[in-house]
Formats: sequence, structure tokens, C-alpha cells
Amino acid sequence: MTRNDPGPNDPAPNDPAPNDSTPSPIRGADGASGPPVDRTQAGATSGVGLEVTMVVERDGFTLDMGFTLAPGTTAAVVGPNGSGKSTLIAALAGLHPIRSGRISAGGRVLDDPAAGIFVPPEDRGFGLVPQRGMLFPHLSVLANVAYGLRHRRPDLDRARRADVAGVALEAVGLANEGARFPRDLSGGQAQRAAVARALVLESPILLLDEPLSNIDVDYRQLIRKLLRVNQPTNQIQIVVTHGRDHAYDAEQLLALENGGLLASGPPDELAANPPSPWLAELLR
Amino acid sequence: MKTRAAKTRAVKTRSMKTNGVPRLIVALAIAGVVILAIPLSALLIDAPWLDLPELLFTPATLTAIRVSLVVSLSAVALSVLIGVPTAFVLARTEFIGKPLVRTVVTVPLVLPPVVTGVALQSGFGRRGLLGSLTGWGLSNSTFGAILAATLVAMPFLILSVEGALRNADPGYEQVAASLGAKPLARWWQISLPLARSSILAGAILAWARALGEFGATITFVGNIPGITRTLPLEVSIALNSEPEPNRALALSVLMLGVSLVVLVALRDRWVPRT
Repeated sequence: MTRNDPGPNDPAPNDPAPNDSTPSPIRGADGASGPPVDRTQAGATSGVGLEVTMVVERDGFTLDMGFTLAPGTTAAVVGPNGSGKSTLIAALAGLHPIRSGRISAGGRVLDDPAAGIFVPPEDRGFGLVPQRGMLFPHLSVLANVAYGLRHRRPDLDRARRADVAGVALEAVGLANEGARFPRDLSGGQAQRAAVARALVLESPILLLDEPLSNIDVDYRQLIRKLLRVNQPTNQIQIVVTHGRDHAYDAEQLLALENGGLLASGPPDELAANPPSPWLAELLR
Repeated sequence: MKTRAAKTRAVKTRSMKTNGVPRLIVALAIAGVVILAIPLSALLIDAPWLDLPELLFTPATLTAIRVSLVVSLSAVALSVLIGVPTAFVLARTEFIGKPLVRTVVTVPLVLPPVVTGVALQSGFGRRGLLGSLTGWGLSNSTFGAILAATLVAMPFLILSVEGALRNADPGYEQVAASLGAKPLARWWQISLPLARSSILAGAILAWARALGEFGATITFVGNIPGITRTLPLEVSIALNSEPEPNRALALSVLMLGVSLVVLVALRDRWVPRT
């Protein structure tokens, strides 16, 4: 993994506040380059993090849980199959409205059925790495990675978006695959591109649903490192994972079981006193 | 044991493996193929191959071809313009009365075309609803013929696209939404491109149906040369009103050729690869 140059830093011509909205190109896993990330746009999130109490019903399954995450926290969601991990991600992303309760991020209410509030996914400003990557099959890999910038960063023109996306692809080890199409990628490569697609947005909250599931062992380390190195100040990362190492990357574990929160806390604490055999197994 | 092995081998070397399908069923299937094949082969045998260019390049025929192309292509364009959104609404939204809407848009598939023509007359004819409101109607106009062809052709497009959308993974649109794309942007940038092969197949199918449309057209807009007289109408004129069956045969061969092209274009969609 080589160091990534920050790329051209000249601001877009019509940019009123050049330094604040210049994209901070994604940094390589060594974290050696790139300016300190200025999350001016995410300033609203600082101080107050993510506050969730919710009942979600999806396909006859009910998830009933609540938790709070401080800004800058990385949380790992762990649990057996069918415990509600993907439902949690879908509810947070706004892909599935909650039945009751409230989701608020940075003090902004995103979903509150009792108050009649539902902010659709495109307006939540989250990043999402779905299961299996879900790259758009009709767009090139580079266009996939640039897709979110197209909508979230109207200040960047096409060429600048391509620059930023190219740097991100290089960081995930796909520097030469930008012009190819998703069908030409292996499952692991597609997953890495999906991580890049979400990382470039530098969103205040990043949701990752088993981002390492298809990725070869060699690249798992790299992606885990990338997620940490490129975590903008105050970004909350919520990662669904089955991996022990990845769980230990988190400051907080959310252990789900049968549609409820079994336990939450720092991995070390839960490992010392695991409330369930599967959790003990995972954290051993 | 030995004899069974021998039998299996014997069956395998034959040109057809029945795989346990009873002979009676196979015989009926052969009868079915023959019944379909006889008239088509007879048409090809009867066709005045040598005079074909001469028969097709008459002013009347060329006019009918022009009218047919204008009417069928406009009908396809209209079908895509309103049929694709209809398919999306039917596939993706939930609302009260959806079964009724689906019935309304697909009923022309099973309705006798002449009934479709009469219905069009009542709706958009000069003496129909439109006529009573505005004083003019679409009877006897090319636009009326386009409307008739659209009505009978669009259901094919809607069903093709709706079916594909039902099988499509909504995950792509969800990801696009999570990346900040508004509903119209993700429809245009994600949903539509992903549905393009079903749209193309539906459009080809709709075009074939529009090209062959006869009953609704002649009922609604009549048989006016250069305005509403399409190829199928020209064939019926040639076959019945004038003593020139050869021209009817030539036109039929032309349309059969077009149909075969359509069939080849769609074969991957209709004939599952084995």
C-alpha cells in the first residue's frame, strides 16, 4: 500500500469557503498523508451523538432495542443470524421506518413515528456499505465510488469527483479497476469498492453491514485500518461483523440476540464477563 | 439388470429422448406443431417470390408501409412514455384499487380488438365522450390509429417491465438513496438503466403487436388510404375487395419476415437456454 497523494487541492471555482469544502482525499492505511480532516459540514453532530430507542417490525420479525453512541465512537454489532443486525442497519439508514421510538443523530430527529417525523435515507447524510457490496452493475467501478459525491457534493465538478473517487479506489487496492464494471470484480474486490464508495462521503455516521465478509484475509487488515485511519473526527461507525478482530476494533459492542440488545459495552469488559456462550466464543 | 442397461442405451441412441413423457402426449404435441406449421409453410409455398419486389413497390403498398411505420413506432414511443411509469407504479407502490388499475391496463390483452375499437369510438370518437365535450374526435385520423395501436400494444410492455421489476433487487435503489440520490434522480440513474433490457424486450413485443393491429383500428378510425390504412388493412383490401391475392401474399410474407426478426431478437428472453 503506497502513500496516497492528497490530490489537487485547488478549490472549485465557485466555492465560497475553499478550505472547508475541499475534499479531504481518503488516506492510505498507513495514515501518513492527507490533511487533518475538517468536518465542518458535520459540525452539527459534535457534542451529541446517536440516540436510539426503537421497535422495528420487518417481515414478521421484531427488533426492540435502544442505545446511545457518543460522537467519534466505533461500535460493532454482533449477534447470531436472525438476531436483528441487518434490521438495525436498515432502520438507522432509513430504509425501513421504525414502528415506535425515536432515532436522533446530532440532536436532529430522524425517525419518530409518534411525532410524525421520518427523514428519508437520502436526507440523513449517512454512509452505507450494504451486505454483498451492491455496486451498481451498470456503472463503472469509478462511477460507483463517485456516485455519492454526485449527490452529496454539488460543489465538486465531474473531474474533481473522479479525482476523489480515484484516490479512494487506490486506497482500497483497486487503483487499476476504476474503468472496469462490477461484473468483472471478485466478491472481495466489489466489497472493497463498496467501502470506498461510502468512505469518500466522510459522513457523520457510517453504517457497514458485514463489510469484510467476502474480502480475502490479506485485505481484511487493510480495510480495518482504512476504516480507522479515515474516520473523520466525530464520525460514528457502526459495523456489523462476525470477526473477532473487527469486534475488538470497536470501542463499544452492541450484542444482539433474538431481536433485542443482549449487552453493550467495551469489548474487553464483555469478554471478561460474557453474558452468553456465543459472545464468549466470539471474543475469546 | 443387463436388459435394463441395454434398453437405456437403446433409448439414448435414438434421435429423441422422451424422458418418460407418454407417446400419446408426444403424438398430440406433433399434431400441434403440424397445425401451426401447415398454414405458414403454405403461405411460403404460395408466395409469389419472383414478383415480390414488383408487388411491394407499388404506390399503395409503399403508402401502407409508411402509415404502418408511423403508427406502430409512434404507438411504441407512447407506450414506453406512459407504460414504463405505469409498470413502475404497479410493481413498486401499494394503493387501494391497484387490482382495478392492473385490470384496466391489461384488459386489452384479452379483449377482442373490435371491442377495443368500439370503446375507443365511445371515448375519443367524434360522436363519443370527447366529441360531445369538444366537438371534435380522433376518428378517421392517424392519431386515432396510433391510439388504437397503443392501447393494444402497451399491455405487453407493461407486463414485461413490471415482471422484471418484481424480480429486481430493490437494494440498488436503497443504496442510491443512502448515497444521497433523491427519488427522481435514482429512478433515472439506477432504476431505469437496470430495467433497460426488459424495457427493450417489451418495446419490441409491443411494436410487433402494434404492427399487426387490425380490429381496433378498422373499427375506430376506418380504412383511409394514407391516413389509417396500415399494412394489415391493406392486406385485407387486397385479399377481399380487389382481385389481387398475390399482393396480399406478398404483404403477408413481408410481415412474417418482420415477425421472425422480432422472434430472433427476443429468443433469449422467451426460450430458456437449456
